[in-house]
Amino acid sequence: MAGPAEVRAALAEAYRDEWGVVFGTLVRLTGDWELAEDCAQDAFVRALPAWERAGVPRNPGAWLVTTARRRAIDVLRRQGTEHVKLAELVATEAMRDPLPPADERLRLIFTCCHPALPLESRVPLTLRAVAGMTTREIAHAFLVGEDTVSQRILRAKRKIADAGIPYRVPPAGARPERLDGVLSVIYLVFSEGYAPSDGRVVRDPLAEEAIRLARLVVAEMPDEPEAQGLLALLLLQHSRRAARLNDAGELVTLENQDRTRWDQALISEGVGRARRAVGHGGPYGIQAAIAAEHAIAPTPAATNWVEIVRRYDELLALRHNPVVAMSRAVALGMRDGPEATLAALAEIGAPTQLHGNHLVPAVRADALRRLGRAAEAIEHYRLARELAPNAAIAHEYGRRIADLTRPPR
Amino acid sequence: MRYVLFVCVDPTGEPTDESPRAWVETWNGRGVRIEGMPLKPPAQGKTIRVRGGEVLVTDGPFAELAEWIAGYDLIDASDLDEAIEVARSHPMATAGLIEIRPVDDVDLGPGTESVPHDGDAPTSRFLGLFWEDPSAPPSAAAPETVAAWVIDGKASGRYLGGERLRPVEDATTVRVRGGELQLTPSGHTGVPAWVSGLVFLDGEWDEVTEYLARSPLARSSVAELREFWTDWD
Repeated sequence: MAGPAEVRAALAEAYRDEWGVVFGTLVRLTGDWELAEDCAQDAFVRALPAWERAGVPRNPGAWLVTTARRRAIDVLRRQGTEHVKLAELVATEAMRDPLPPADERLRLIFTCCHPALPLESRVPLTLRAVAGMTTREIAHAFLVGEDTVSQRILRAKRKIADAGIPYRVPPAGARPERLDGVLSVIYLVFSEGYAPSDGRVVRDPLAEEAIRLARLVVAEMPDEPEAQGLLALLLLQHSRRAARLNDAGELVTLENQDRTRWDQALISEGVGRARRAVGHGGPYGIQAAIAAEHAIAPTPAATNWVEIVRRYDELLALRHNPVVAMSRAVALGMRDGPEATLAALAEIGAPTQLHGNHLVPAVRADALRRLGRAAEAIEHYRLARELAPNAAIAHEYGRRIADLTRPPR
Repeated sequence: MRYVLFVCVDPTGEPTDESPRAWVETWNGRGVRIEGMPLKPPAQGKTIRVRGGEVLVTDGPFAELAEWIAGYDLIDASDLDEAIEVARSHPMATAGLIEIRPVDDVDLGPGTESVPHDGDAPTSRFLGLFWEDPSAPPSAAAPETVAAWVIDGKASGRYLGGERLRPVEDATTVRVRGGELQLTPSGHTGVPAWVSGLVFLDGEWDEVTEYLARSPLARSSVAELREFWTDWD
């Protein structure tokens, strides 16, 4: 007999690992997202007393699916004659061999990331349905009201039903096209954890959830290099999380980070995956390769800037993007000196996508500072500070202004 | 599931002189496409609204949109993914855009069924589009008044059929640009107005205008009357 603490731990683990499978199985069997959620939740509620009484089942996932399915049958029978047929279907379908758990999760993730759903709904729906995060947790993570999150999830579920969005993994031919949407949702979840729009500095749970989702996709689709590339990119960015903040909780830029605090296990996995992904030449693979160059460099100066500039050129050749062009301008400055950055900035000009972007004055200011043109640098840092998207970044620009204003010793 | 495809002009489209004939044959052959017809430009249509009991008829569309509906198709697809496959293979997905709208199957009661027809489309001269106008006071027409209007129109030969559409939130807009599929999870216009239903109407301009003005739907929506091309292709 398991003690209450072990039962709770087993249940917490089952929730993390099995929620998506239980929920997904019920969606597949009933075609009803509301009913599926109700039944999945009910199964987890029943699990605690049942497992305390009889011990943790050998296969908690199977126990939970069976319990949720029984409730679905009950509810459907109670709802009346037109549901009896469906109830019988639910009962008999599950008698056959169940789908492998990973298959259920993958169906769920592709459906939640369907491009016919608004992006603002895809993210919370994925976190709710696949990762089992509550609307409260999602609301908290994205700093929006719980009502907003519930509404977005509800609308998405309605559209799935009313517009006929199928619950399945797209056929092989359509998969690359649709995988893109899945990967961008995962990247968005990660970015929100890594560079929150609200000014808090980092939110690890979202970043970790994104990595978990990326692992899931890679495990199921190991031959998709872009899925590998995304996972590599996330691992490499996440490897720096401990060094991104100083003791005062302020943001530390890449060049000033204490590299001994980088997570070597994540780096070695990330670098390995990046190497496998980059040959394919997809955007996530290339970004992972750039992140890998930073990760393996012992110091900023010893970074292989030649390789990094080359990778940025590849990335820009795939799709021109002014924000990427800005990053390339920085790398170019590290390779050839700050004049090269200024020349690259002149070439980029002022495209609308960069209007109001703090990086434009900040990159210019960094180059001017390195050229010893302090007065001009301060002017541009001030502008960058005004445009900073959050307090942590504004603070960083303030610090650089203070450094330049301080009288030389 | 049945879907209406609005085939639209879009200035961002890539010109093509491909005719939709092959597309029609393919999807008719697979039993997916049910019917469809092209429309004359909205400038040649009329707009009818009834506000405070007063009938307002104007020439041309109710809003000057760069993207305008140039035709409709009705399909029966297994799910939205198949509807997207159908839409993207239409030459106008490249040259313009296609808005996919799930049909809302409503039964207004006995005597309101669409008039059966042979061939590719109802043999009606006009299509009436009901636009939801967010600036108009919201008012839902009672189903029995709509049913009475339909029965009356069938008796006089004005009304040949119609479909109600699910709300615009359920829309998916399909474009193909540079050979790549682009999906937008919303309707095709940049304005907060959307088509909530379509009716097939027959008769002369003034007869059909008068009939549309009597629709309970014209009190809350804006009715756009458009003439079909009959000698297309």
